[in-house]
Amino acid sequence: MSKRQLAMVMDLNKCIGCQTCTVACKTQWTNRNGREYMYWNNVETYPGDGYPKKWMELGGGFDAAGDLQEGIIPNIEADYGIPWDYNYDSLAEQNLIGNKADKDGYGVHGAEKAGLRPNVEPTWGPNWDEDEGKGNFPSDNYFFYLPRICNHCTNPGCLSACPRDAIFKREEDGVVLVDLDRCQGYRYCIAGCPYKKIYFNPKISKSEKCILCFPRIEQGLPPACAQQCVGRIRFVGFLDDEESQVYKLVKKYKVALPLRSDYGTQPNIYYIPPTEAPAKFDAEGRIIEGSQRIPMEELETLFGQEVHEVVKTLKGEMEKRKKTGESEILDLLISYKHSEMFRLDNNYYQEVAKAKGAHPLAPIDDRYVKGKNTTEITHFKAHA
Amino acid sequence: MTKSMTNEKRRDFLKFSGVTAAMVASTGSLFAKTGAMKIENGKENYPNTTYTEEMYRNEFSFTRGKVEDTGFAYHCVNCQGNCAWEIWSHNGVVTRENQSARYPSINAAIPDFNPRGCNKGVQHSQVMYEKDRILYPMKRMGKRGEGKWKRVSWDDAATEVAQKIFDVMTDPKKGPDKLMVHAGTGLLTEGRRGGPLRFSTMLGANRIYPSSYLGDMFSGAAVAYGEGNVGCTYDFMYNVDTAVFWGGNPSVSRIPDAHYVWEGKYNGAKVIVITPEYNGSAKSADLWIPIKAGSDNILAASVIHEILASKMYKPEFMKIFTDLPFLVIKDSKKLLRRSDMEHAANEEDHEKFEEQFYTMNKTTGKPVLMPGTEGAGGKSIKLDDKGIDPELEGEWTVKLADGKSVVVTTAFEMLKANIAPFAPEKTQEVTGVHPDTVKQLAKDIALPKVVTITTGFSLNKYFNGIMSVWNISSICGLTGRLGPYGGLNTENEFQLSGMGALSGFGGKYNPRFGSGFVGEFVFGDGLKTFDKYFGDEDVKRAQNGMSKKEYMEIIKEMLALGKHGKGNDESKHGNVVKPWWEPEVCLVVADSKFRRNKGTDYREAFFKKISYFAYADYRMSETAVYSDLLLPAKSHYEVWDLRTSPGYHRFTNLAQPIANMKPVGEAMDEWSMMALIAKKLEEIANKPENVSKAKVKDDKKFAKPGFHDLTIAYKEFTNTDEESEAAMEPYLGTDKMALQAALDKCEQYSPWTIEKMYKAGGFLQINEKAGKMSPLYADRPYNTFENMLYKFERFETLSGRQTFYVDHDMYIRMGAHTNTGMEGIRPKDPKRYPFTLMTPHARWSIHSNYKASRTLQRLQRGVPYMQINRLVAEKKGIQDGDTIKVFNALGEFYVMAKVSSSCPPDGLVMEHGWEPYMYKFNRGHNECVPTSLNLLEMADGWGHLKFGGLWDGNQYAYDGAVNIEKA
Repeated sequence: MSKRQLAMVMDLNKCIGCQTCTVACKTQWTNRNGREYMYWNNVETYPGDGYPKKWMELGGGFDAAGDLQEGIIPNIEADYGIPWDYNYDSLAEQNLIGNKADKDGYGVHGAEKAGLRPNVEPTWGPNWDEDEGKGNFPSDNYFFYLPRICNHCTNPGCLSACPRDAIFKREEDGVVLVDLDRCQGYRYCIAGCPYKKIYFNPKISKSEKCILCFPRIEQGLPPACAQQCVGRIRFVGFLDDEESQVYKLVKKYKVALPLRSDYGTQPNIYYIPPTEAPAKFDAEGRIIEGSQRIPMEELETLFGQEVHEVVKTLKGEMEKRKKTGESEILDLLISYKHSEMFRLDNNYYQEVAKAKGAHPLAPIDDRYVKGKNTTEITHFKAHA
Repeated sequence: MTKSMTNEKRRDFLKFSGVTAAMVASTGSLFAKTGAMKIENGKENYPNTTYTEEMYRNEFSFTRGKVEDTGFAYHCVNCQGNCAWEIWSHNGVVTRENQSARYPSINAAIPDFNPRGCNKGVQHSQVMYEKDRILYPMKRMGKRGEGKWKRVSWDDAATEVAQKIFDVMTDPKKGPDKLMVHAGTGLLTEGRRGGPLRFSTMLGANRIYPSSYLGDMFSGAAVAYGEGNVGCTYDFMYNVDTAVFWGGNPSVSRIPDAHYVWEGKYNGAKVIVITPEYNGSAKSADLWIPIKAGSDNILAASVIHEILASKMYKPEFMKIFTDLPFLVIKDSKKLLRRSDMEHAANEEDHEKFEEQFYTMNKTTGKPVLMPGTEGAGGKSIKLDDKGIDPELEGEWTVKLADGKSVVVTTAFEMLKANIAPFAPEKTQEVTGVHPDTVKQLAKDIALPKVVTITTGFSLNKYFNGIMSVWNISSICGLTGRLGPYGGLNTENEFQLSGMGALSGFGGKYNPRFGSGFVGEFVFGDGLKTFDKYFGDEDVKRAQNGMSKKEYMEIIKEMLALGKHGKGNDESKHGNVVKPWWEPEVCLVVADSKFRRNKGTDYREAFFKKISYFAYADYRMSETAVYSDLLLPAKSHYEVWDLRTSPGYHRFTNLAQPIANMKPVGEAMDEWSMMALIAKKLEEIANKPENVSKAKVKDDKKFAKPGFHDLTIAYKEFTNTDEESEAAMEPYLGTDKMALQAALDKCEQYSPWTIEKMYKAGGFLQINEKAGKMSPLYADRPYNTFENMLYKFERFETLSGRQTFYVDHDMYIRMGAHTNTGMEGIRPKDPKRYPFTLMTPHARWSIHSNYKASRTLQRLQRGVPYMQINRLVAEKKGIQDGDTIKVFNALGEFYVMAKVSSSCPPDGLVMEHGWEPYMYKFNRGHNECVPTSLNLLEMADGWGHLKFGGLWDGNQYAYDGAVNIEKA
C-alpha cells in the first residue's frame, strides 16, 4: 500500500459533456510522440459503446477470488479509432470549384471531393456516440456523460498483469505509473486493466497512461482535467485528509462511488451518480411525475448496490435544501470557490522530495496547495 | 487481438524476466539489459521511480515554460464566453493554454466564475500554428476558389486595397457608398475591432448590423422593452426558483456559465428546458418539454392563455409597468392618442400629442393621460402621486376631437381577445406539448418568487421568432418579473462609455449602417430563393393569410424605399425603413459570409455585384478561399486587446502576447493593417494628379464637413491630424495603442492599467458605472430593470412601459397588434419534406471557428454528420455511419448519419458552422436553407421600432424542411 492516496471525485450531475477536460489533457500530454490516439481523459455518453469501443466487455480486472481475468487488447482502428489528419496545407492550393465553374467560382456543384477531408475514413473515435443515448424519443430516452481517467487503483489490474513488474504505485500518493525505463511493450497491462485506461505507445513501444498530472500536483497545480473543468465537477485531494472534499464525499457522507468496483481493482476515482434527469412521458405526452428516466438497473451496473442508498441520500439532501436552505453535502458539490475543490498538500510533496534527497520543486501556484501537512502557506503570499 | 495470461502463468513468466533497461528510449527498439532488478511488489517500494518521473516532470516544465513569459488571452470569435486564459510558452512559441481562474468571488454564498473556458478555447494553441494559417498577403491569380495564389508584400497589398478604395470613392459616378469596410463577428473585442470600424466610419463606407444578419437580434425583446439585450449575469441563476431555458441549451452553447444552472439546481431551482431535441441540458433538467420545432411562440401564447385563465397575473404590476391599461379604439385597433382627443396648436405639439396615451382612471371615471410616455416629456412612470388608478378591463365611449364618438377598451382586453384561441388544449397539435404540461409550465413561471426565462438564440432564427421572444417577454410582464424577481434573459450587456474614442470621430463622421438581414438578402438575391422555395400556403400560414403575391409586392416596395437609405433620408421623423446600399469594393475582416448566408445562390449573386473583395482573416476559411486579396491577421494569442461585452459576468479580459513571441508569418493586427492601408491611401491622394479629387463629397449625415479628405487619411485615422491633436485625442494605429486608449477613455475601466490587469491574472473588474438599467452592486449578481421597478424610470419604449401593444399598421394587419400565436413559414408537406432541418449552435465550434480543428474533429466524426432518429433510420434502412443525401427544392448536401435516440422523428439535428469545403461537392447545409423576411421585422417607423442597432431584424436559419435518402 502506498502511504497516502490521491483521489478524485467527479459529479455526474454537473458534467455537461463539454470535453474541456479531454482537450486540456490532450494539450498537456497526448498530442505528441505516439500518444495521439490516446485519451488519458475521455468523456463518453452513457449508454453507448464508449472508448475504447465496448470497453466493459473487454475483460481484465479480478474475480471474487482475486485472480486476474483474461482480457482483450483493443484494436487501434476498430476500437480506438485512427486519429485522422487533414489536408490543411492544400486549402490554398486546390481547385474547390470543379472544372465547370464560372470566373467567380460558381457552378452547380463544386469539386466532388471535400476541400478539407480526413486522410483516413473515420469509423470510430473517442466520442463517436456522443449524445445518442438509448430509449424511445421522447418518452423514455436518456443519456448522461461519463468522464473517465485512470482510476489509480489500489489493486491495479495493469500492475498485476505486467510480466516485467514495470508498473508501480508511487508511495507518496498512490499514482500508478509505468516505469518507462523497464517497460518492454508487452501490453499485458492493457488486457489486465478492466477500464482500458492504459495504452500502447507504438512510437516508443511502451505503455503509457494517465499520470494524474503528478508533475503539476507536485508544483501546486491540480491535474489539467480537473483544474480546467469548467463544469466544476472534479475534486482532488488525499483520502486521508479529513478536510479534503474527496474525504468528505467518499468517506464521511458516502455519496461518491467508484465505477465498476466489481472489477476488483479498488479504484480511487469516485463519482456522484447522476440523480438528475427529467421525468418521463406517457403515451399521450403527459409527464409521469416522479418517474426515473435513467433506469436504476443501469446505475446499479455502473456503481453497485450502494447506488440506491446514494441516490436516496442525494434526493433527500435536495429536498432538505429546498425546505431549509441547508445541506453540507450540496454545499460541497456546489463549491463556492473553485480553488477550494483542490487540496494538494504542497508541504507534503516538499518533504517527500527532501526525504528522497531530491531538490524540491518550487510551487508555481499558491491557490491549491492546502492539505493535511500544509495548513499554512508560508513560502509566499497567498492571493486575496 | 491478444489475450492476456492468467495470473499464475504470469508469475511463471516473471521468473526469468526480472531485468531492467538502463538506457534512454529510442523509437521502437528493444533495449540492452545492463543489470538485473528484482521487484517484489510494484504497489510498494518500487526502486526505479525517478526515470519515469523525471521524464514527465521535464515534459510538464517544457509546456509550462517560464512563468514570467506567460501571456493572457480570450477567444473573441463571436463567442460570448469571454474567459481569461493564461498562455504558456516555450522560447517564444505557444505551448498550451490554461485558465487563469483568478476571478475574485463577489459573494461567499455564490459560486465564483472560475475557471471560465471551454473545449474550443482550450485548444487554440493547436490551431494557431496549423497549416491553414494565412501567413502572407496573397493575391488571387486564377478563378475564385481555384486555388491559385501569389504571395505579395504587405506594401503591395496595402497599396492595391488603397488604390481600389481611392478609385471607387473618387469616381464621380460612385462614391463612399459604393465602398464596404466591414468587420464581421470573427473579431468581437473592445480594442482590435475598433480598427476596421474606425476606418469604415472615416471613409463613409457601408457596413451592416451583424447581430441582424446572424439571426441574433432579439427583436421580440426590443418590441417589449425597447432594448434587446436584457437579463442577468449568470451568477444570478444560482438563486432563482425556476430557470427556464426556452430554445436554449446552456450546457452546450453557454459552456463557461452552465455550472451556475446546475449549482442553482442543487440550490433548489427548478430547471426547465424547452427544446425539440434531447440534449446536454435536457438530460439534467427537472422538466424537459420536447416542443415541435419553431412553435415556441404558440406555446408561449398558450402559457399566456393559462396565466390569464387562472388569473395568475399581477394586476398592480401591470397597471404601472406595462401598457396594458392603455386605451385602444376598438374598431380601428389604434391606440387612443392625445392627437385624437385634442387639436395641437402647432406642428411640434402635434408630434408630441401623437405619442401620448390614455388610461381610464378608476378614481375619476375619466380617461387620463399616462405620464412617462414618449411624448409626455417626463421620465417617471409613477402613478400614485398623480392620482391615477388605471382600469385594466372594460369598455367605454369617448368623444374625439373631431366630434365622433368611439368605443375604447384597454390593451389588456385586446390581449385577452388575441390570446383566446390559444387554449392549451387547442395548441397541442401544433406544439406537441400536452395541455397539462402547459399548465405546469405556467405555474412554474408565475408563482415562485424569482424566475428567469432565458431565450436561446435559436428562437430568433425561426420565422416569427420575433413573436416567440415578444410572447415570452409578455409572460414576464404579466407575472411581474423585473430586477430581483428575474424575467427575460436574452443576453445582458454592460454599459461602456468613452469607447467612441476608438471607432468614432466625435460626430465628425458617422457610420453608414445598412440593415443586416436585408443587406444580405439583397446581396444574395434572396427574393429569388424565396420564390423558388415557399408556396402561397406557406406565406398565408405565416403572415396572417396574406398571399405570396401580395407579400412579395410589399417586400419589393419596402426594398425600393430602403435602397441607398432613401426612405429614411426623406423622412422627417426618424427612420421608417431598413436601408441598404450596393457596394462594389469590399474590405472585410473576419466575416464568414459564404459559409453563413442561406440559399444556393448567395455567393454567385454576391460576386455579380461586387468587383473587388479584400479579406482579412487568420486562417483559410470558406470566405478566404473566394477572395481577391488575402490579408493575414494575427490571432488571439498574438495581440494586445481587451474584451468586456456581453455581460455574462463583470470582468473585462486582457489579451497580452507571451514574452518574446515569435511572429507567425507576416500576420498583422487589424489596427496596424488599417493604418497601413490608410497610409497608402493618403499617399495616393497626395499624388499631384489626385489631389484635386481627394476631397470626396458625402451627405452631412455621414460626414459633417460634407466631405472625406483622403489627403489626411492616415493622420485622421491615427489622430495625428491638426484637429485631433488640438482636441488631445489619443494616438491610435496599433492594437496596443487602442488597448491603452480604451483603458484611458472608458470610465467603467477605471482605475485599471495593463500592468494591473496582468498582475490580477489577465482581467479587470468593471466598476459600478457599468450597470445600464440596474445598479451593479459589489456583492450581488446583476439583473436588468431594477431602476424601472424601484425608481419608476421609464423604459425606452413609446409608452415608457413594457410594450404589449403595437398599433403599427402592419402589426394590425398581421393580427399582431398585441401578442398572438403565428405559425412558421416552413413548408408543411410531410410527404415531400418530412424533416425540419435544425442547425443549432455548436458544442464543437463557435460558428465556423474551430470547426476544422483536428483536435476537435477527432472528438466528433471527422466529417459533417447529422443526428437522425433511431426509428426513422431503421425504417429508411439507414445505418449509423452511412452517408446520406439531404435535399429539398433548393439544393442538396451530403453528411454522415448519426443514429440517435435524442433526435425527434420529424427533425434532423446538425450542429451548424461547417465550412462548405468540408462537404462532398464543397456545398454546405445552407444549400437547403431558404431565406425570407418577416413583415413584423420589416415594419419600421413606429415609436421605438425605428431602424438602428436595436431594431433591425433577423436572417432565419431553421425554415428548411428537407428529405433524406441513403447516398
